[in-house]
Parts: sequence; C-alpha cells; structure tokens
Amino acid sequence: MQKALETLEKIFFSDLIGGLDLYTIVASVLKFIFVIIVLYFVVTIVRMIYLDIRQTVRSTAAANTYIKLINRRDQFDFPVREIYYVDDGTTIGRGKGNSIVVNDPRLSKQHARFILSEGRFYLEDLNSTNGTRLNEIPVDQPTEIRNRDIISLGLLEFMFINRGEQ
Amino acid sequence: MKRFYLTGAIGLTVLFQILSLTLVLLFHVKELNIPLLMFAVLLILFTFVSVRLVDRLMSGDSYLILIVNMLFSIGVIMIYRIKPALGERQLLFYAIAVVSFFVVYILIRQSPDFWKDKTLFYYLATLFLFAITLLFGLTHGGARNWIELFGVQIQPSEFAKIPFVFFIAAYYANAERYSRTVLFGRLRLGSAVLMAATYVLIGLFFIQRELGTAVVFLFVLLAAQFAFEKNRRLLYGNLALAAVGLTAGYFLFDHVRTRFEIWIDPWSDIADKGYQITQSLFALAEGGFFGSGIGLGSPGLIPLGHSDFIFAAIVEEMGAFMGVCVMLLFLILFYRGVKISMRQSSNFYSALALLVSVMFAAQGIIMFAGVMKLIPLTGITIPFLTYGGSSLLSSFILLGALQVASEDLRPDGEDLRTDDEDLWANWADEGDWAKRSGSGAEEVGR
Repeated sequence: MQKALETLEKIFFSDLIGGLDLYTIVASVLKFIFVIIVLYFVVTIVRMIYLDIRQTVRSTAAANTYIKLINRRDQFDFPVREIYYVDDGTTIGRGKGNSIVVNDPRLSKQHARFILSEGRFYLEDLNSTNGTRLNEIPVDQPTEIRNRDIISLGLLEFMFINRGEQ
Repeated sequence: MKRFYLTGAIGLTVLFQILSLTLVLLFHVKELNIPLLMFAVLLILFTFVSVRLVDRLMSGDSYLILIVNMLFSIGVIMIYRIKPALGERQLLFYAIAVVSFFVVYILIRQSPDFWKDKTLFYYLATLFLFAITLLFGLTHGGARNWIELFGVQIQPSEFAKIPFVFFIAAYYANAERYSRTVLFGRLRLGSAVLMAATYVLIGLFFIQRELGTAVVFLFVLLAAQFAFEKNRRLLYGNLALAAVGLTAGYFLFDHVRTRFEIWIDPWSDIADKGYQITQSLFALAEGGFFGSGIGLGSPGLIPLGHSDFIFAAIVEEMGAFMGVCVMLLFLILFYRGVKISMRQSSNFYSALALLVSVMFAAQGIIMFAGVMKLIPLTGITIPFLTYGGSSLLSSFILLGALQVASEDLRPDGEDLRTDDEDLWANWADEGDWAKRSGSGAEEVGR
C-alpha cells in the first residue's frame, strides 16, 4: 500500500517539463471538464422541468374533457384527485406508468384506457381483474362514452365531462 | 423521455464525483488510506441509490435529491481539498444525513395529519434548542453556539431551523382557527401574536450574536406573511419594524456596527477585521472564468475557506462559471420548492414546502452576496455546501419534509367536501377546479 502510494506520488508530482508535473496538467484540463459537466447537469434538469411544463400547458389546452370524482375523497385512504384530464390514449391504473395513477388496491396495474376516434371518446377495459362499468354496465369492448356518463372502477366513481358536447 | 434525462443526470453526477474525487485524492496522496477510499465509494453509491430510491418508491419530486447530491459533491470536494481531515468527516456526515432523509420521509409520510397542528410544540422546541445553547454552550469564534453531547459537538441553532419552519407553517395552515381563539381577556391569537412570538426568537438569536440565523428567521417570517397573511398591513408593518430594528441594532450593538464598517471599507483594517473579506475578494478575483484548477490555487489562505467562505474557495479553484452553476442549482431548488407548494392541496404541507425553500434560498443568498461584499457579512452555513454535520443533517431533514410535501396528500379537514349537495352546487364554479387540475395534469404522460 505504502509503496503504491509512493509510486503514484512519483508519477504525478515529479517535474516533466519546465516545472510542470503531471498533476498540474491533469487538473488544468479537468477544470474545464468540471464546469462543462455541472453546466450540462443544470441543462438536463431544466429540460426535465421544461417537459413537465409543456405537458401541463398541453393538457390545459385539452381541458374540455375530464373525469370528475363523485365519491367523497375522505372515504379513501389513498390520495385521489377531484379531476383528471382525459385525452386520446389516457390510461388509468395502479402502476406508475399510467397517465392517471390511483393507488387503489382494487384497481389493476393497467385498468382502463380512453380512446379518441373521429371526435368521439371510447372507454376500453384493459382486462382488469375487477372490471370497469359504464353507467353500471360492464365494459367488455371499447364503448362510446358521452357527457355525464358515470365510470366505475372498483369503488371509485367518476363522471365523464366533455364540454365540447354540452 | 423523462426517464432518459433522469438517467443522464445521475450519470453526470457520478461522472463528476469520480473525476473530482480521483483528482482531489491524488492531490492529498499522502493522506490516502483504505477507510477514506471506502467513504469516497460510499458517496457515489449513496448518490446513486438515493436518487433511484426516490424515483422508484416515492411518487413525488425526483429533482430535489438530484440537485442536492450535486451541490454536496461540489462542496465536499472543496472541503477535502482544503482540509482532508474535515472532508473525511463530511463524507461520514453525508451518509448519516441521507439515511435520516429517508427516516424523516417515512416518519412524516406515515401520518401526515399528525404534524399539522402542533404549533405550540414546535415553538417550544425552538425555544428549547435555544435555551440549551445558552445554558451549556461553548463559545466558538465569537458566537456561543456549540454544545457537546457524548463527545460530539452539535450546533443547536442549526436544528432550531427545523421546528421554526414547522411552527410558522402550522400557524398559517390553521390561521383561521387560531384567529377565533381567545387567549386571555380580549387578546386574540392572531397574526400579531405570531409576529411577537417570532420576534422573541429573533431577538434571542440576536443577543446570542447569531445575526445570520436571526436574519434567516426574519426572511422566513416575511415570506410567510407575504404569501399567506390576509391582513397586508401586518406585512408592511413588519417590513418597517425590520428596518427600524436594523437601524437600532446598528446604533446599539458594537458587533453590528463593526460588520457594517467592514462592509463599507474593509481595506482600512486589512490586517485584522477586514482580513476575511479581503482574502475572499482576492480569491474571487484570482479564479477567473474557469478557476486555477483543483489543487493549483491557494484557497487555504481564506479564513474558514471550508465553511463560511466556501463559495470564494469554489470560485478560486473551479472558476466563476462553477460559482454561477452553484447559484443556478440553488435557483432550481427554490423553483421546485415553490412549484411543490403551489400544487400541494394540503395547506400545511403547501406552507411547509414554501418556507423550507425560502429557508434554503435565504441562507444561500446571504452567503453568496456576503462573500462577494454585496451585503454586510454574517456567518451562516450554506445548506448542503459548507462543512458541518449539524447543518448538513438539518438541511437533509428539511429536505425530507419537502419530499413529503411534493406528493399528493389529502387536503386539510376544512377543505373536504361536507355533503354531496356541494358537488352540484360547485358545478358551475370552474375556477376552483382549474386550480386543482392544472397541477393534476402534470401526472399525464409520466
């Protein structure tokens, strides 16, 4: 160990040319690299934040369609929002990859999906364990969904609002 | 897409850590030993694991821990470069602090409602932390702010920040209820009482010569009033009071006047009182755009270059660009805090998020500006950057609270809908929903 350290010191701290040692050269090069790395790190984070903001703006533009919770929120012991915006391909489920994540144990990992086709919204059940009901009728194939329809997933009940239709 | 950037950001942090640790360990090659190498590996490992854990297990913000890890890396490299023994201890503190971050997160996340209304407890805890310094304190560098516990030196004023932030947040979260409570006689428990209570704390720190902590507390109080106080006259009154207090402090206390004099003209007493700040200015000038390179400057000449003046040391050896980067990192941290505060539906955690980020930002601004001689200098710590176990630990604990606040929590009691009739009554009132759902939309596409 001691010997290895001495060799390291000899390599890095003995004169190469005109009072310059290897350490000075390495440190002088690395100082530029450090600034670049940290600056790039800041840029990466700002990009991630930018993605977030853009998504928020885009969803507000599509604010005409959303689902609104009908249940009282305090009857659940998991967090759930009053309103979720719905767009083409919006998925709902327990898994983190969904557009709408609700940590309800009665939901499947991927529970249901909204599809927008030719200006109409359809609701599709993604083979969930407990099923999806639309106005109390089980959804077994993509079903058209209209303003003020009631969607039931487990104990959760949402009202679908499409203000373009109102 | 976001996952891709997250991996990139972790990669950049780890790359920075590996390169700079190698360089700085090489610089102090005589000091090198096995435990030290283990600490270095531990830093990289903990960075990687903490970011991954936050991303995987917590539904909240994953930027906070990323930014903080980067800030800490920059700081610890500089500390180790100036004083290897302290750098080694700082690495050990980091491991403890990260663990406590997760412990605090779990503790608060388990029962978020429990912490909402313990206002009096928080206040008494702050007072208690002050009292033990006064009783058992050791004088250290002009300020009596250390106590010794089981052979470990602790700075209680650093920990006092935690209950203080909780205290102000708890007050404003329950302000409506408190304004109806009658204390005794005709005195109501309103915002004026809060102000008086806070001024007692600020005054105590002032007497203890911890000007920096007093100023940070004042910052937090002003920010809370600015954001939540319905009676705007109290805010303006407080601003006026702060100005009057500062002027009175200037004429009444010698140590305040000395600081102002050093600030206005450090050069006339360059050998004694002006020594710190002039050395710091020399270091800033020496650095240039890219600095001298780690190990090639002389930040050892700056008094307290590893703690209060670490910003000057960073600029000297890593350059003005790195200085700008450090400020940018603080700016992003503050921005995230405000964002979290705005989308949080629980009043208490919303206030807490804002005040924690104001606390971090205030400490940063006071030290950055102080070191550059833009404002009179008061010695406080920069969170995550300066040397000190107490500071690091309390900052990570506050970060844990901020992490909880970034998650979806149920709103406080009075916000809950009471009966189903409301649903239909609110039907036309879309302004209210837009507020909530604007933030809900962020979930889309994650």
